[in-house]
Amino acid sequence: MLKAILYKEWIKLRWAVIVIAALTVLSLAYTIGMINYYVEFQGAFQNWMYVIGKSLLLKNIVFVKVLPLITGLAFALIQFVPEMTNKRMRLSYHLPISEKKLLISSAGFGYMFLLAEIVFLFFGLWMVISMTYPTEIVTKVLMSTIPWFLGGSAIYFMTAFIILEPSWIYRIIYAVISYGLIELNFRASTYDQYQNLWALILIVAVMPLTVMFAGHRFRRGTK
Amino acid sequence: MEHVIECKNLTHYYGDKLVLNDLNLKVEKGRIFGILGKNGMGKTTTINILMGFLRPTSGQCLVLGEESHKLSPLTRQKIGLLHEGHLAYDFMTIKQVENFYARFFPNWKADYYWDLMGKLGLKDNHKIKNMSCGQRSQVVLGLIFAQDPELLILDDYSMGLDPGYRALFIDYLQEYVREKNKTVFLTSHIIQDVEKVADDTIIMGYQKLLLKMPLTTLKKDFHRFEFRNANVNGVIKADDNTITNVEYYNDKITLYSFKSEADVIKHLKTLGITIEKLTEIPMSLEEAFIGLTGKY
Repeated sequence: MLKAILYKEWIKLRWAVIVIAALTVLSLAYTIGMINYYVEFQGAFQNWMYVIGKSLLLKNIVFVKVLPLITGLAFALIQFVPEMTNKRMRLSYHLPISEKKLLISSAGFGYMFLLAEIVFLFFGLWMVISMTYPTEIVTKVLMSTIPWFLGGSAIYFMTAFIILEPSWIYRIIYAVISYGLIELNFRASTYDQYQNLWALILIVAVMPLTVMFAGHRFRRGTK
Repeated sequence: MEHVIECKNLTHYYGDKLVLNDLNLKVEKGRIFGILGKNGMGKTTTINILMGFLRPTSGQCLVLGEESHKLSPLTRQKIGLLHEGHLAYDFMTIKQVENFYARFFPNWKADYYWDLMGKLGLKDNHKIKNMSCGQRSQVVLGLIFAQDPELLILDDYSMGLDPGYRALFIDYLQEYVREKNKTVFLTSHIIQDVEKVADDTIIMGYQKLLLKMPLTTLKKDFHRFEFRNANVNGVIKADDNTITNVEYYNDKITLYSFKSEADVIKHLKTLGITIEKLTEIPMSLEEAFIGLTGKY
């Protein structure tokens, strides 16, 4: 049965997975070009100063900030809007599978695809930066991007939560709260500003429960 | 289990609005039940409760022996649901949707599905969202048949179907149900279709069940009488005993009753109306339905 749920989610997400993977490759290619450009025109010493002192790398890899966000948002919309259109989720709720299993597997498989894209981007970035900069810089940059990846996860769960919620008033309230929680991940613009990474991880770890909560409210026929 | 569906003292409110009041209903195995009711009479609410998408404010509704709002996956396997508007995973193709559902049902009978799909003449990779409502109805029906359920709940199956697809739907449903001894609980706005397919009819009135009886009994026992008298306008009132409903149109009075002509004449006499003979006008199910529920 879980294979069937995976099959359904894959049918919905496959084009988005391919498009996002292609965007990731393009973005990484752009980063290689960007690093070469700066090193060539600034010179190695100047570039080093900018990278260390002005967080140059971090400021120029905006796509790492945006891609997980776009991916999380797109995946949640693609997965759950068709389920809620004409209350199609009722079809899923009538399947001979428990409500918990259904919701966990649907969101779980979606998140699995998102995580695959994030891991691809993360390791891609690692490889690209490692080509030019020493391990210390690579570590700093990658550590600084973790909240952005967490932001992508957060937007996925919160969007699913909002879509599955049956009441429009609650949706608006949840959207405001979600904005605040997601925005927490995007506050820093220099290295090492995230001293509370574990707190952010904990917040994202709790978010799947919201999907269960909204799904259960829909199932009960809450208006 | 004697009854496939059993609702006891079912009451439901939407906020302060009472929709169902103390409804009691039993559905026996192996019969086709057609549920009829005007808009706003609680038909959809009843169906939603039966389908497990609404928890009743009070009372209980058992479907295959389990409370409808907490059916186990095993019981859900035995219930085929057709949602209003022939809801389907329209992002899937004919082949994909069959692949998907087949993994959930151990008794999956793919032949039923592919027989119906063969008649549509569409390719296996045809997307459901690109189908007409009629074609989609065949996909949904094929999936329900292949599931081989004990109970079929079909909510407004005729919605959006042209006469051809409606007839096709009814033909397949009848053949399948008779052959396999299934129980069907269906609603439709097309009363002629219900008349064609149902063994029993359930008619819902304002907040309550008006009647539940075999269609043949309703046709035999429910009468429409007419007579003309310009002086009795408003004298005869509908009551629970003899006159179920009464309509006045100029001097023409139409009476609906479960009693015989002689009993109605006797009742009229107690109201001071002497009449020798009433004219009985035969009724279709639609006319009987209007007779029971009124035109307004």
